[in-house]
Amino acid sequence: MKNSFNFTEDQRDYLQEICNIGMGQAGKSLSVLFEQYVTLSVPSIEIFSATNLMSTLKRLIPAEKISAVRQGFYTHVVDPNICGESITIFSNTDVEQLAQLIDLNQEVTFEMEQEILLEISNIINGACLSGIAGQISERFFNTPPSIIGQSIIIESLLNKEHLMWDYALSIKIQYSVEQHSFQCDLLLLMPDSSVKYLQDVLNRLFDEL
Amino acid sequence: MTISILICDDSNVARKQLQRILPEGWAANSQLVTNGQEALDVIRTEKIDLLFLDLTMPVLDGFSLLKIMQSEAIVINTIVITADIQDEAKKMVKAAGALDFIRKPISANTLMKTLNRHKLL
Repeated sequence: MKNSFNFTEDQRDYLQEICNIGMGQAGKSLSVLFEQYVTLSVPSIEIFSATNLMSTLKRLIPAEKISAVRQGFYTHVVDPNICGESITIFSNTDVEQLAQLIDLNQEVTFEMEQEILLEISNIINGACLSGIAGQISERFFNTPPSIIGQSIIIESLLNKEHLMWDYALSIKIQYSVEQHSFQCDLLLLMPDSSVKYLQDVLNRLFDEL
Repeated sequence: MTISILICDDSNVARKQLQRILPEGWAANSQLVTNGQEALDVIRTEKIDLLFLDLTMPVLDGFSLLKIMQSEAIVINTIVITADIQDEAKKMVKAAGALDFIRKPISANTLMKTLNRHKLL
């Protein structure tokens, strides 16, 4: 692992605000889906080396069972400024509750659960990345989302592919709708080159303040 | 005319962004606080002409601050600047007495238009 990883307090502050804006956009999209006001919490972010991915994830996400959706993102097909893989992790989520919120008047089958997780993950991921892209003057393209697993233990979340990335940015989000609340973590796995690019952009933006 | 301003946002970046685009001379008269409780402590003891308020904050959020201000009959021109861009959030803050609602990130142009619209310039 290279030693370039170390976000300054200014870079972290800026990234936190960028993620906050992205999460607000996700909240708006979810409120349209649920047709109700969605209460947002302050998102917390953490950036860490992918070599510590599993131990850090176990600390960040203490849930017994998780469901997770993966999606690739990139700014350009060839030589992208930023690229990586996002993983939306739902902790102890009652998918039937989510189905009620979406007002699906039908039996929630395994396939239906998958569709709900894919849809909500797509909204959160898309809004967050779009929020980040808008702030750093980039545009992200996404690969289609796919389910990594439903009600699995966190140890079975990652495979060798995931551990090939250099860094991970984790964004912890909590949304509440009426008496229901659901928590998820958005994990953005990126190579060293993307993180360096992001840091340069954050420096420039902070200098402009 | 000297206008006393309070900027309430938990994000250092958001506070700086706003200060940078305030009309000339206003930044010098602006106080910065990081949550609704700190804002409440200031507005209970000092005369504030204009409050820029974030909604999603730790300790005491912007919605709760607006409700407390209403219950204590504290009247301050308040402009909400937030990433919570849901229509319902907009309705709630307007009902709680805020003058206007601006989505983050705020631009100088939007700020000027908003201040002009409410004859605050």
